Amino acid sequence: MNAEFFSEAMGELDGRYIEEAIRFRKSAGKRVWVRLAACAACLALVIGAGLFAAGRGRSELPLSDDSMGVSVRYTDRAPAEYSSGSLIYLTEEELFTYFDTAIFLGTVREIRNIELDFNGDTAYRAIAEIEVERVYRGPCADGETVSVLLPCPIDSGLWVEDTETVSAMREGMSGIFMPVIYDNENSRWEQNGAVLIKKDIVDYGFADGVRYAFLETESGLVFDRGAYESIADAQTLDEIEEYILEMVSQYP
Amino acid sequence: MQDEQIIELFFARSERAIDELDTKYGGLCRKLAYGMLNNAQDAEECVNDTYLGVWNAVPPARPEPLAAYVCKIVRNLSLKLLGRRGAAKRGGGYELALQELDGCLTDGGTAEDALEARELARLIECFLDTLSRENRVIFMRRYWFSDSYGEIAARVGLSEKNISVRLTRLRAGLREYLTGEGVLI
Repeated sequence: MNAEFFSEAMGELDGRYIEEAIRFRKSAGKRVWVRLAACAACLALVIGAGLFAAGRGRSELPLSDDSMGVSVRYTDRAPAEYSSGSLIYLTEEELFTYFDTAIFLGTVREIRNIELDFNGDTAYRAIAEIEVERVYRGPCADGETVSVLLPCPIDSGLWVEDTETVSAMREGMSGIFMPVIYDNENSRWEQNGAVLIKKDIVDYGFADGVRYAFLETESGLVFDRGAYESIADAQTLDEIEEYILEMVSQYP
Repeated sequence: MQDEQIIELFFARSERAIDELDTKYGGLCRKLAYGMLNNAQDAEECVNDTYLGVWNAVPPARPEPLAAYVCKIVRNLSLKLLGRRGAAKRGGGYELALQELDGCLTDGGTAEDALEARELARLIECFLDTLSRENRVIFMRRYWFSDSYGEIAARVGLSEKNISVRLTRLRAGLREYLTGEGVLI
């Protein structure tokens, strides 16, 4: 018997087996809980936190059937990613209207780098978990934690062209964020014959790494002062908030 | 939209039926076709032909479950296209899955040369019934949907290594089962 004949016979299977395989998706929470419990036991007995961190770094993110030929996994690596061209010029008004963005004040709770494999083409990005503290525009709610795709991996020693603001982002940092609200249409990423629906892995993503975040860093307020000429001298998030509220009242 | 409502649209000969079918199962179909054909354009063509096939078959057919019915058509059309292409141009997840099965099935001869695909399918179903739900899904995702180890791992919440080990055991179990049934010598 050859495999092709076997495969042909597989095509004759009753639909219930196919349906079961389509619908089955193990709840990640349960697995994570079991793994955490196992890791905690190991931690107490022998090995320590290193094992958990290593396992966590390799885990793959589940994707919907709309994504094809691509896999996404967490990684500890952060190789440099270079942008392909100049940002399109947008006026201050257009920065609030060109993309459908949410706007909120929040704190970065976690950043994890991801490795994306498009049929062998590899790309690196990061996912930030941001706890929302005040919503100015968009569907999120106060107290909610949202996941946002960053256009570059995050590493303390890394500088990436066209991602100056986002590259400065670190866990624990507060800021005002303006990420694009993802849906299946606007989050499609095609590369090397593969398709990733970014909505599968995050709720939001930055349209670029420069103009859609205002970060309160140890060295002061970081944002694109050239793009926001009317607040180019701002030194605090309060000043940014005042400006955002005014803009949102005009462009809700 | 519920499957029953989509089928009613087909019965009413409404072209919206195709749109709704595509909205609900287009991603699933494209992924399946792509996994087998390893070519986005061919996969798209295959999915469009599938919709035409469903349009021509429903009515009178009233498929239940609809997703499995549509996927079967996608798979069959993909296999036909692969047949036209020839083995040299297969590639992709389907080719890898076939290679694994080849190692499991072709070492021994087949007791009944005249065994038909439908008969073998009934035996495979009996084998699947002996498995746990999770192992059954792992087997089906690999050898029916041509999913990669990583995709299966993400679906069932196991590591890729674990999936690899399980599939090795499942293939050994399959071989033992078919040998016990007198299909493999």
